[in-house]
Formats: sequence, structure tokens, C-alpha cells
Amino acid sequence: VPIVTSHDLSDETRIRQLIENWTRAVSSGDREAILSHHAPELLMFDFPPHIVRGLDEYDRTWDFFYDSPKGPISFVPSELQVTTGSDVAFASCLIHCDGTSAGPLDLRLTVGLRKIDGEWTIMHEHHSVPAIEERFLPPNASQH
Amino acid sequence: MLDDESKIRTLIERWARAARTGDIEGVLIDHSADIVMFDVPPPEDGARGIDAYRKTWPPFFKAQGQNGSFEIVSLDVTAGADVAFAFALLRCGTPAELKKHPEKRLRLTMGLRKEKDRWLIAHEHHSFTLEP
Repeated sequence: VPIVTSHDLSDETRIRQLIENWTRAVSSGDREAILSHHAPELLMFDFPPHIVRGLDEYDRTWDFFYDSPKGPISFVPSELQVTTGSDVAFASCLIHCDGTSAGPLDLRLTVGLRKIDGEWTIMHEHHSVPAIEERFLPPNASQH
Repeated sequence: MLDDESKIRTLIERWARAARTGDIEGVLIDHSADIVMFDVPPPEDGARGIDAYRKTWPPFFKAQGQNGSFEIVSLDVTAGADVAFAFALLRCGTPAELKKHPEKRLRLTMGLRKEKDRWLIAHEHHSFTLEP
């Protein structure tokens, strides 16, 4: 049985809350709150653009969410898994997104965090959707 | 003795070499039983567990053929005492694909944890940017 100390538990809880608060900020369009736990030197793999460096560029990736929405924005995580160390952590989840001009979208998200001055800070985000490329499909899948 | 960042770099470079040469055991060797992988192809919700992870590789090996590239172009590792993450860009594809799209890069993020003084990969996320 793994030993779970209260320290581990509270760090995991803090990171869960951070990610849940971030997704709520996206849903409500609170642009300041979206950025509030990110490092200035953040590097993001988005879809597209390919690579996003730094907070200003990161901020601009959210423009399309709010420029011409089709309805209320929702950005809802599920299957959130958090792996926490004493000073570095990572998390993965699925996100269901709706209301933007892109229509409903299911994406996969990975986040890398570092504890800086006692605060968990997002250093890296990877957002993607699966690619339907024929060469990657198993042989039986192409028959459908 | 190597520091944690160097150990993780070596581990990821070894993994990429195994992926390039179609060495399935070499690909699997440093992974946790509970790995969660978001792969380039579907399913959208990922391959969960080492058996599901193993099954993602044979179709890839087949598509890559004998001369496919799986080459790390850049690698950034953030290592803590017991948990780490890394992100990388790779040149990935057959010679014909890379000739057609020379700048196309696979984006890779990994999450690792240290168990019994050994780093294990517990999460992988592979993707290509959507074509404009």
C-alpha cells in the first residue's frame, strides 16, 4: 500500500483545483484568470498553431474562443489524473469544448507544472485532437 | 553519476531509438503498468494501461517501414526529485512523407515518476498540428 502523506494529498488537491479553476475561467471568459497560474516562459503545443511561446502569445490563442461564439462557451474536463512530486507535477485529462465558432470539440490535454515560491505554476500545455491519418490505422479499420 | 535530467534524456533517446528500429520490447521497457497515452490516431480518450500501449505500436512500425525516421530534434526536460515531465519535437515519417512535408514535426509530451530509484514513463501525448 503506497504511503500517502498529507503533503502529497494537499499538493494533488491544489493542482486539481488549479486545473478546474482554469477550465472554469475558460468557460466564463475570464481572460485574467486563464493566465493566472502560468509561467512567463510557458511553452504550449496547440492545434494549430504548432508551438506557442510565452504568456502574450498564449493569451492570444484564446481570442478565437470569444471572437464569435455560437453560444455559451463550455470547457469541461473529465478523467483528470494528477501525478505530483515535491516540486514537479504533470496532469492529463480529456476536455469537451462547445460554444466556439469551431463547434463541439473533444480534445486531449497534458499539463506540466513546477512549484515556484510555494505556488504550482503551469510551464507546459499540450492540446490536441487525434489525427485521422490512414497510414496509422490498423489494417481492419480501413475496410469500414 | 548522472543527474536526474541526464538519466531522463538518456531514457527518452533510448526509447526513440527503439521506436525507430521497431524494437517493441525496447519501447516498453521504461513504462509504468498504468501508462496513459494520447496517441496521434484515435481513440480520442487514449490508450490506458501497458497492454493497450503495446498495441499502438505495430501499426506504426508497419507504416514507418524500414527507412522511417523517428528522430528527436529538440528535447526539454523538467526533473524534480520524484516526478518529471518532458516535451520534444521529432522528425517522424517515411522518406517520402518527409520529402513532401520537410518541416512537419511530431509533438511529444511525457510524464515520468521515480519508483525505487528508477524513472518510469507514466504518460505520453503524441500529436501533429492539424493542417491549415
